[in-house]
Amino acid sequence: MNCVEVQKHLSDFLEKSLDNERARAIEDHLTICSLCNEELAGLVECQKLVSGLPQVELPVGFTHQVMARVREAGHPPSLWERLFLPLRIKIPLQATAVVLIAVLAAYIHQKQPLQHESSVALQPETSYRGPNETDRFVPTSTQETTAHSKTKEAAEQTEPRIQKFRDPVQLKGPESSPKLAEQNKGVAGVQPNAPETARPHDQVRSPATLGPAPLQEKSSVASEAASLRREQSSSSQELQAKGALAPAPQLERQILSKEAASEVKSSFSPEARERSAAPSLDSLSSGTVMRMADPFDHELTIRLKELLRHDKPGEAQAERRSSISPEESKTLDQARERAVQTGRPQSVVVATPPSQYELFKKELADLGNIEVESSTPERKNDAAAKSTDQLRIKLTILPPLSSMNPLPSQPASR
Amino acid sequence: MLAEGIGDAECVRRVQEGDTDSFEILVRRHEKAVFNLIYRLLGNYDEAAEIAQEVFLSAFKSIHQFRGEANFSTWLYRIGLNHASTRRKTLHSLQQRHIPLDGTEVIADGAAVDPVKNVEHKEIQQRVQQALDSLDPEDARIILLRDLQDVPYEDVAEILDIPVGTVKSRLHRARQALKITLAPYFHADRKLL
Repeated sequence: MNCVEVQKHLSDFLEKSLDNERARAIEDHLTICSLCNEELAGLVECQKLVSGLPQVELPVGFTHQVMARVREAGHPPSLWERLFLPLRIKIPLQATAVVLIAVLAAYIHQKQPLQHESSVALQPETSYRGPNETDRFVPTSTQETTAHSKTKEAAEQTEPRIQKFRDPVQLKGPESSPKLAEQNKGVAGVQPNAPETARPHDQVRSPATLGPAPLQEKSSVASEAASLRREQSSSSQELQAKGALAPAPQLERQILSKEAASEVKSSFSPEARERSAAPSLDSLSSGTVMRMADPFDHELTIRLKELLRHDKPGEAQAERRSSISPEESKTLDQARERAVQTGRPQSVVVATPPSQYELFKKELADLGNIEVESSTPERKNDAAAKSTDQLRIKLTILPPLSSMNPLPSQPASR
Repeated sequence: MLAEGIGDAECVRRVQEGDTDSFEILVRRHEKAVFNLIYRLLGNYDEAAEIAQEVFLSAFKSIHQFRGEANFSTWLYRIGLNHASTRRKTLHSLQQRHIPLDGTEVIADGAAVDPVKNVEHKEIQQRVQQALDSLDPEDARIILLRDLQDVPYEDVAEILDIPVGTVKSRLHRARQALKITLAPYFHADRKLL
């Protein structure tokens, strides 16, 4: 047996785990080999050193601490322990959760005012009819009387909202506020700058306006009646303008269905229906709706100058305008007169070549200030529209501020 | 009243049946060996105390998995070595391992009464502990099980889950490594220092 073999088995030799023959061979080798002897001595010394390491005493109370934890583990934790223990982990976690919830709540809260404003922007429909409509409406039953009074109440409540509505930012239309436009999608023909459009509110209210529903329904009925009467008294030109107020998506057409119209009909007395509703409803449910589908290229809103305040009805001279046809110019002047006389907005539709559009605006500047100008997106992208020679322009004429005749219980209309 | 005379297997059975107090017998019976094994593997008294508690807690929680095919001590050592090895890796990476030089460890046998010899003994123990710390974890484990705890080959094989032959060869390799580590401190007469 050589040194390599012996040293390989020295550890087993120490352990006395070798068979007798091999153990004897190693013993014989060790008697003659000092190197292997030295190796063995080193291993023995190491073994002694490790085995000679003193036993270390346990910390005081070790057993009790272990058993306390064991007993704790043996019992299911209480609700309190499950919720809050260990504090060092769960408190920071819960604090983080609270902060996250707060941030989320703040985020949602920030988004809410937009929705609220959009619903407010729709409200003027109810109270923006001007003083004449509700005055002319004579209810024949107690219920209608209540509806009339409620209309005034609603108008009082919505007066601050109308102030918001007058804000040019809100008057800009769907392009300036995509969110607003999105929320207005469900409302038939709703355009912030098209207040005359007749709409059955109770069917088309956006979710944001569902709050004061009963009150709005009443006021909506009254204002619808007023609107219908106004339609009756308006010229055919105005009806056409009203019918073509805005690009009406398919949904809007559906909403302005006969069903909605008949519901409005049933809300009025027979006299009121005789006087006003039937013809207008017919136009509303058929021709008007179809005309609403006609889109405009531009929508303009002008506020008549104060100068016209002192004009007497019929006194305004028809002005010559080169940008539009004489008939349209005449219609425009008539609408201007009506706006001054009635103190409420008038709408007309005119057509002009694209090259004359700027000139038309300049000519309008003689009448008043252009407060809102918007282009209809659909028409912008409509290749067919681009190919036509004429631009269709919807013009809303707002009366001078001084010619408006606010009622004490009703907000000042424009 | 704890029945200290009953065997590990019976205690385990009782614990498995829901008798938590019987676990205390097992704790008292094995705590010192487990603690010392962990302490020598980690070289840190406080860490060893914490890990030893964890070991017993883990053993209690998983005692239903113990089938009695091996000794309870073997099973407990295995849990202890697993915990200690994991902790040793962490400590090694943090370089926090240290041998207490200020006498925080309480020596059970209190061998050296002579202050000079006491200091010598302490220094020797520190050298050995440092050598163990510097060993490969596998080598350290097998030396501690065999030379410190005097665990039989077969049990070492079971604890480490390796064949007995491997235990022998690995033990020899570990002892050689320890001898080489301690060689600079050996005197010519084979005495340390």
